[in-house]
Amino acid sequence: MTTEEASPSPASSEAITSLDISDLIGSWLNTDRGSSGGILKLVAGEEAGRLKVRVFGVGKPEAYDWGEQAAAVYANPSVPGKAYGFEVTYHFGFLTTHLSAYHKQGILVMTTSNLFTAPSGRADYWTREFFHREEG
Amino acid sequence: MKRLEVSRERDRLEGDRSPSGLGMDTALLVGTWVNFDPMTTGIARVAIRRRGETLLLRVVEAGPPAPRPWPEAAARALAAAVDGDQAVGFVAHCDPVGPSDSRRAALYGYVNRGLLTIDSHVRFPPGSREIDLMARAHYYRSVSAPD
Repeated sequence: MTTEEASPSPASSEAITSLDISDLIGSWLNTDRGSSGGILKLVAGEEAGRLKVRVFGVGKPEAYDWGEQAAAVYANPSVPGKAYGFEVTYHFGFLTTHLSAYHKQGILVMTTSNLFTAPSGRADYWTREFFHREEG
Repeated sequence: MKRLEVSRERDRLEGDRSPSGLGMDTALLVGTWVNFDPMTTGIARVAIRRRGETLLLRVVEAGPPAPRPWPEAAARALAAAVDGDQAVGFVAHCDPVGPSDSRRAALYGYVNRGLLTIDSHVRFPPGSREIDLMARAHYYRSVSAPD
């Protein structure tokens, strides 16, 4: 894994959550195995009552390690005690990526909103990707 | 040739393709959108208009006790890829929601086959006993409501 070009700013501090975040914890693999060139893998864990996520973007030959960030956790209005989704923002300098995800029936559905911070000929863009738990 | 910074392969521009530089076409997003669920207690409708390269959102939150319009908020239009020139989504951060509403909201919207989906994240002020909420809702384009 490399951090040569993707080096987000230090993690923000998100509040300790009272929600049950167990449904979100784990190592999640993109169902497309990286063929779209998006996010390859996300690892979510709990630390001192906070949800921490670590993201790996598809890279050649190695994935881009975005590093670990604290995530804001949200409940679904119909299931108030359990964490339904989370949100985290990565600041890469040249790019800001807002990542929003929710859990449903064993699948993690994630959208990213990607905003370039300076003219580079690239359009700001949006993605939607699907993840399943890593086996073993 | 300048090496582009990337966070994943998808950030790269392929070949010599590049956006026209005339800005994104936002026609798929601009308009008034109504929640399919008339009983929602979340966002009931949203009107999207364009001013220059910025999208402006007017959100109306359902009651109870009464519909609550949010102040107009700026949003960024998003294409489906770095070489895209058609906006298919937006992101808006309302922080706070309004001068008399200290909640913070992040709205992530996208259009697929004429259906607008908005993932909304609402956070309450520190110390609040309320639980931060994420809701996902679907909207159709109104043919009668003014934009």
